[in-house]
Formats: sequence, C-alpha cells, structure tokens
Amino acid sequence: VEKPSPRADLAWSAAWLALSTAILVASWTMDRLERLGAKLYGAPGLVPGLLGLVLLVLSLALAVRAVRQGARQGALRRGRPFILDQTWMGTALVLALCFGYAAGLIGRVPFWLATFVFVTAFIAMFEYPARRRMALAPAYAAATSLVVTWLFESVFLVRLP
Amino acid sequence: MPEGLVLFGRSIDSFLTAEAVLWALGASLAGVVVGALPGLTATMGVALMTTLTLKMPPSQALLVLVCTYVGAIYGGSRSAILLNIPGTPASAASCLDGYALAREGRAGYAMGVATSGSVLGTLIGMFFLALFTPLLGNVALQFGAYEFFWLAAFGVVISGNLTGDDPLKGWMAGFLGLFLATIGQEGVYAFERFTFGTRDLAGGLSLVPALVGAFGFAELLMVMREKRPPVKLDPVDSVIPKFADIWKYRRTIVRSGCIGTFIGIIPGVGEDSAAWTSYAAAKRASKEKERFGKGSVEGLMAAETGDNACVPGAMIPVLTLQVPGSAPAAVLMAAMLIHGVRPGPLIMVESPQFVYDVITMILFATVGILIYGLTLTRILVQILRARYQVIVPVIFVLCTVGAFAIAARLFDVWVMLGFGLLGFALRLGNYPMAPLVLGLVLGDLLEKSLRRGLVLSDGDVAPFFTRPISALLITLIVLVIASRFITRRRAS
Repeated sequence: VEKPSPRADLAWSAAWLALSTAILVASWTMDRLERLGAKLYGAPGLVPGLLGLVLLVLSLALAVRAVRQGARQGALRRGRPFILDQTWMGTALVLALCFGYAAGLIGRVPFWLATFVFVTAFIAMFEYPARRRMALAPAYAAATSLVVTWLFESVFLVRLP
Repeated sequence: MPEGLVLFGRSIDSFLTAEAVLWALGASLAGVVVGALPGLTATMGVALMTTLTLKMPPSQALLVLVCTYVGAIYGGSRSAILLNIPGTPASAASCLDGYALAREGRAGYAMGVATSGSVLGTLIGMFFLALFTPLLGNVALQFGAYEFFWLAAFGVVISGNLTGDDPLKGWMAGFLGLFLATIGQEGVYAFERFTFGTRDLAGGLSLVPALVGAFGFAELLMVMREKRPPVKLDPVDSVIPKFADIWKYRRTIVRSGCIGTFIGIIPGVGEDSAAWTSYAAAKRASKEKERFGKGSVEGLMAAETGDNACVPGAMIPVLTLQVPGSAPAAVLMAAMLIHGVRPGPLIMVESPQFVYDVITMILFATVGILIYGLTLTRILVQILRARYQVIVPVIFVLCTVGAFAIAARLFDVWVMLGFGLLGFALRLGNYPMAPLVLGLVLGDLLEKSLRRGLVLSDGDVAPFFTRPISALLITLIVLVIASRFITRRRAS
C-alpha cells in the first residue's frame, strides 16, 4: 500500500486525539472503588488511563510531524490521498456483501442456504460481465456450502450458526 | 543434553502415528497454499486453523497449527519467485533474487534453493529452540511482576519499531492493542470497563475472533482492493536443490539461521525482519555483492534461511516467557491457552516434554515442506492462477464460521467484523498489524504485572526501576526509541 500523505496523517492524528482523549476522560471518571478499599494504584481506570495518555502523546507527535511535512499547506505533496477513489466502489461492495452475510443472514436463515446465497452473489457480482464465469457461481457456491457444512459439523465437530 | 535427547525421542515416538503424520502433511500443505497465495498471510492461516482445530486433542491441534505456520512461511517463497509478489510479507526479500532467477529461466532452480534454505533454516532454528529454551526458562524463573511489566512494554515498543517503516505508527498500533485488551472486566474487582452495558463484552474481546478479523477479513478487503497483474509464469526447470550450492553457501546458511533465530526471539518482530536482516548481512559478507538483486543464489538462500529460522526462534519466548516472537506465534500462543496448555517460565519445571513436542512438530513440518517443495511445484503453479473472486468469499465463510465456533455466539462474528474494519483502516493508514496483535496478546500480562507490582510494593514505583532485569529492559526500551531518533536525524 502506498504511504498516506501528510494530510491523511493529520486526519488520522485528529481521530487518534479524539480516541485517546475519550479514553483518558473515561478512565479518569471511572469508579475508583474506594468504598471497597481500593487504593489509587488499584483503581480500574489506572492502566487504560496510562495507555490513553501514551496514545495522546503519540497522537500529538503524529500531528506535529504531519504539519511539519506540509499537511496544512493543502497540497498533497506526496503519497496517496485519503479521499475516495475508484477502488472504493469495489471495497464498498465487498463490505456490503460480507456484512450482509455475517451480520444479516447468519443466525437468521440456515447456514448452508446463507452460504450458498453469499458465495453465489459474491462471485456473480465480481465476475460481471463474464457470463460464463457468472454462470459457474452457483456451482462454486453449492460446493462451498456443502464442503464447509460437512467439514465443520462432521470432521471438526463444531456447531454451526 | 542427554535428558533432552530422551525427551525428544519420546516426543517423536508419540507423534509417529499414521494419524499424526497425515495431519502434519495436510496442515503443511494447507500452510504452503495459504502462504503461496499473495495477500493471505501465515497469521491468517494459523488464526483460521485455530478455529478449525478447537475440538481436536491439544497435541494434535497444535501439530496442525505449527505445521500450518511453518508451511505458510515457506509457501510465500513460491509466489515471490514465480510472480514477483511475496506470498507473505516474510518472503518480500526473496522476490529480489528469486524472481530475477526465474526471469533467467531458472525458476525451478530458485525454488530448489528456497526449499533447501527453508529446510536448513528451520533445522537451525530447531537446534536453538532445543538449546535456548531450557536456558531462557531458567532466566525466566527470576522474572517477577516488575520484569514482566517491562517485558510486555518492551515487546510492544520493539515490535512497533521494527515492523513496518514508521515506528511512530507501530507504537500507536501497539498501544491501541494494549488498550483494547483492557476492555471487559478487570482482574482484581471484576469491574466492567468500556463495555457500554453490553454483557457480551464483559468477558473482554475474544482474541481469536479479533485476530481472524484483523488478519482474515481485513486482508480479504485489501486483496479485493488491489489489482493483480495477470499471472504470467516462466517455464519451471528442475526443483531438486544442488548439494554444491548448500556447501558453497554454508557460511551464509549458518549466519542467516543464527540471525533468523535471534530475531525470532525478540518479541513481536517476526519473519519479514529476519529475512531482510539475513539478506543484508549476507550482502555485506558476500564476495559477489554486485549479484544481489540481480539473481543472487546467496541472497535468496539467506532470505529463505533467515525467515524460516525465525519460526522456531519465535517459539522460544512463547514457551519460556509467554511472550510471542512474531504475529503468527501470538495466534499460536492464544491457541495453546485455548487448548489448556500454559507456556511460561515454569514450562521446563512442569512440562519439559511439551518443549520437545513443539520441536517434533516443527520437524514434521520441515519434512512436509521438503516433500512439497520437491513434488508440488506444478500444482502450486495452478493454484497461483486461481481467481480471487472465487477464493475470497470462501475464505470469508471460513472467517465467519471460525469466529462463531470459538464460543458458539454471534457476538464473536461481530467482533471479527469490527476488527476486520479496524485492521483494514489501519492498513490503509500504513499502521503495521503485528504490534496491534502483540498489544492485544500482551495487554493482560502488562496490566496484571503493573497492578501486582504496585500492590507488592504498596504503591512504590521504585522496584520497577531498580531491579536488575527491569533496569536492563528499561535501558533496552530507551535505546530502541533513541536509536530511531538518531537514525532519523542522520537520514535528514
């Protein structure tokens, strides 16, 4: 993967700063369990708080470095821009299919059917417009569904969703 | 030493059954295939196999995982030589000379060199695994809470420093991993942290679904994003390695084996660094420096010996300190814990036999890669032509089932998806994955050690700095960080 631009690093550092600040605040305000006799060094928020602090320092270092490299000048001097490009369409489609399968179909319809539908849809969509390859999608899907179901249930003795 | 040989003999005897041999050969083959396919890494292979082997007896399950690990690291060299695309990051150094040899019409010869380097590297690593594990085990017995705290911190810092090309981002990924490990009930008061009232999160994030997501789903997203050039393969000549080459480069082999093993011992650094360091050392010492990068047999031999020697090397800290030497070793360690095997400082006291069992597993895997290296070239060439449009959905099905299989709950599938997205985003931002994994694995050790140490000293932090091993580890951490600043300043 091509290195991100300083501007992308600056955007990342903002996200890191938000995360580390949230961790710090949550750790600081976390119940210190003094009523249970916990001392300051035994407080549940100690370790996450320290880690949040380290992340905050590193986020600031990333931000400073990105600015020094020209992130604020607007020009994307080098590296990959963070903005969406054509390949994002494909990524969005993969994400939609995978989430549709794992978070939508699994647990709601029989596993073999969910797997058959997912694999067929995936191959057909990414093989488009090659008709012969698209036509083979149900065959690949049926084989995957049968083999995975058999392998997990009969060989590895694992319960399927 | 004689006692070690007896234990080793016992291990070989117990694993020399038809069933174990078949599992070993099958898993090595699966590893070689996963490693050979660009984009699919050894960590992903071991994580997926962990979910497949849940119901197996521990020794058999770990045999499968070790063979997958060794097979995958070796398998990466196939696509590096044939396609100029490293099958795993560990094989990136092999592209330089392996592909150059293939372009000269010597692809088979290059694969033979890679096979001999891989086999010898693994054997050298195995030797050091047998030698160093009892020694390091004795040192580890002196480790207390203070030392383990610094060891966990050292692991994350050095992993962030040496994996990837941006230490700052490596450290951020590592500390994020450490933070994610704090989610759920803490160990002293069972107080729920960052669970947002979700009962499923109370037990913390399950390690294996998280790793399957970060290395499985995220890698699939990357694979589908990158456009692969059409596969054009040069004709393959004989793959039988020549003894003359092995003898000629014996010094390179021994040096690379030692470097690979040593880098394996360093927490969280892993095979790719081992390969590059061995390659660089071989180039420095070579009489044919000008051939490096243009089809040097010595360069290819060094890279392949180094990355494979790293595998047994990475097992040394797993077994003695419960700290993984590489990302796949981190998954392997998690699998050991799932199967009730508890590595750590007491391993040589409580179950020394297990150390030799691991050595035997690596030996079986070595036999596996030797067999496949000599026989499977043409089939692997066909596998490399496989279309990712077909492979990706099948692997995603395995990721989903694997995540679910750990505890039979759908929440783990969500964890897998979440970590997949996180891993994908981090990869796009050029954040290395190994420190994140190491942080996740070492988070519990770091927190427990810090809090235990503070309780023992009644809140006094002095013992964290004054005990000899702690002081040594702090010095190393400071040196690691300082070295980066110095290198950066020199470069600019």
